[in-house]
Amino acid sequence: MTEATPRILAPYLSQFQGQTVRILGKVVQLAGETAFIDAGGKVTLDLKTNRDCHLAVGNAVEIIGKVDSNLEVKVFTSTDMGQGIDFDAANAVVDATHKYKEIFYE
Amino acid sequence: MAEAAISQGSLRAIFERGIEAAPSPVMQCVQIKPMDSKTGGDPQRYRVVLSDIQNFIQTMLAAPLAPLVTEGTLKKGSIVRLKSFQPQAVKGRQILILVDVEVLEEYGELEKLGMPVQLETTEPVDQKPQPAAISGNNFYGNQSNGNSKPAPQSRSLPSHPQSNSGDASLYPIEALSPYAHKWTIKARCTQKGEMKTWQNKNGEGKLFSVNLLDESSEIRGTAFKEIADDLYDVFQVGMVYFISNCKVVFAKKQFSNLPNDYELHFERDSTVEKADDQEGAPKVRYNFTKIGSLDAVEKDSTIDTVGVLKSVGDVEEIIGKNSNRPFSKRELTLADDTLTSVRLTIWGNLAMTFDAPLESVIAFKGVKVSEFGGRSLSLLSSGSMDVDPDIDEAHKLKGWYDAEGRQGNYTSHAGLAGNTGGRKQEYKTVQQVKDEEAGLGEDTVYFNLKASVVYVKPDTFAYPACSNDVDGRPCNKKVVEDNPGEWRCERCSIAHPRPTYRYIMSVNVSDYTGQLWLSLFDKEGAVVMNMTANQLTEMKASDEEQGTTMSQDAFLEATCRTYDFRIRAKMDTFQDTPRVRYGVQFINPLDFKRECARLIETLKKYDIKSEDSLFVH
Repeated sequence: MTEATPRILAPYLSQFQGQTVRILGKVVQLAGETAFIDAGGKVTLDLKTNRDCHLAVGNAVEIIGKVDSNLEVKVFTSTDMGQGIDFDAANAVVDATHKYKEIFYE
Repeated sequence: MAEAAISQGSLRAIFERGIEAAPSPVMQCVQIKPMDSKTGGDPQRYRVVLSDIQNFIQTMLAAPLAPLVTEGTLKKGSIVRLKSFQPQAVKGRQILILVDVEVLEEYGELEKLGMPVQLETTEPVDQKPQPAAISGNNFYGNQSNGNSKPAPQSRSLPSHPQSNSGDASLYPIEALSPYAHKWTIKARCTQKGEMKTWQNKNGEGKLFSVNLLDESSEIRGTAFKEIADDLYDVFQVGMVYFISNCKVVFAKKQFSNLPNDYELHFERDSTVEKADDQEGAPKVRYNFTKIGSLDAVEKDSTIDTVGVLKSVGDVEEIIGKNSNRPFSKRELTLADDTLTSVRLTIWGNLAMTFDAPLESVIAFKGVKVSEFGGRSLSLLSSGSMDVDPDIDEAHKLKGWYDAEGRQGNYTSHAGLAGNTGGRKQEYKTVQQVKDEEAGLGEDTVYFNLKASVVYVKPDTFAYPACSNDVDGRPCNKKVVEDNPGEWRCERCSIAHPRPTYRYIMSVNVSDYTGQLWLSLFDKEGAVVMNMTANQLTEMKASDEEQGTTMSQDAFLEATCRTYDFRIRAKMDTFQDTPRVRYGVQFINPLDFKRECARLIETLKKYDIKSEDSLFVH
């Protein structure tokens, strides 16, 4: 992957509008072509472009997608991470990367 | 129809039941008269007669509203809504002071509606005996007989009625300062202290304090001597009161845990009245600190915290050093989702009657952080405790505890007492260890170290030991092979055909600050090498015979693994050179979850120092 995909959480969505990002969250609800995950807050996923990603409610998922203007994320690809993810730790990592963002992305 | 809009009967309700009986009533203005100002420079004040169809009443329009009349917005016959007003009784007659009104222009000006009669002057609501001078202002009290009040004092604000809720000048607690003169606050009493007595060279006295809370802030109030007697029964924890006319002074921070620069002294003419509307103030405001962050909190500072009750000690009685009076105390252990636990001491009555069940979530307000044994907490006398409170933080903790917390291992903040043999669980880096070598002296220091094995010394990694049981434990003394196949133990005087080899190895470990030599004994050696000493010795022997490199591979395998070591450092004198030897007491594989939590806390500490926290933890 040549493109940088900074890892974000819900509060950072507005900062990264129009950019491709990576989000690790817990699947909360599936609704046809949209899904909702909890990544430090609610994130709406647009699955029209990636219909065959099978998300399981309650599992963790990492998605790579683009943040559009109404702060929904168009999903390019998703990876199921199963159970047992320590979200507190994961979210703290994301916050740390943003705090020291020179290390992690431009 | 305008008649329908009017709040009929509201005047009677206001004077019989208080201002809440008629919020924002709508009335008709039936008469407007200007009043001459007694002294020059005073803005024109208007006397307005309002009717609610059943009754009419004299009212005074507050100065800022005078333009409503001068510009013609408010006219005789207009319908007005009273947004803010104060009922007053003056010379036996009821009047209203209008602080804020809205002219409902859509109704225009109408003829007098109905046949209102003057409101009878019944007993005013909650009236305390009024001192003669309510800093008499000259803009009211001018009924048709034109009696004026005694010499006016301050005219800047309408004086506060000693009674009645819905005071127009209801201040938020945040706005209180020694410069505010007439104010009323509506606040909930969140804590009431016990009556304390003192004796000093000036004599003796008694006092008690309360904590008062409203949406804006909190403040502490103290009453002394006779005033304390009067007010002690009035204040009840959890009730909302209207309080006015106290002295606002600078806070004595050592007695209060509240974040306010000021505090109140109740005076003789301070008023405290229970409010009819008990809902107007929040219950308690907490500002929680996570148990894991306690390291960063300065000692002696006051915080709030919430946690799961992990253990409860028994009530102990101790004698106070200075007072020689007995105190009761009880130690609790609290833990939260930073996977750290801490001791918290409660005192007095609370300690004696404490009975919250284990694993309940308890919120504490007003807890002092002390350095005693690492970090420990003590509930101040002005603090409070709430078991299983109905707040988000508590629910979150309960959920976390049910899911994971029960099995979690906790790093304890408490150094001494109530821990594994009373040792500090402190993590050091190799650099720190080396720096502190000099200060070692005669003592044994214990600490934790997270490091990776870099090199295992392959020579002399084990010794032959006597496996004979002495008093339930193996003798472990070095046995000597006097004759081939006969290993004799001097202590037990037994010969073994085969000794049990026990590890006694030197291992070089490294972290990002440096490297260190540690000594490991049998149990820990086995963890590092992943085999018993016997197995390794055999391997080495067969290597020599067969030319294989199995043992060397084994040594290599042991490297590059990270562990959590518990180390005991002791100064030893080796042939006249004092050297520090680091022995490993325990070795633990990394518990990633706990390490993660610890790292997060460490990162947060960087935040706290720079006052720039992004963590939404």
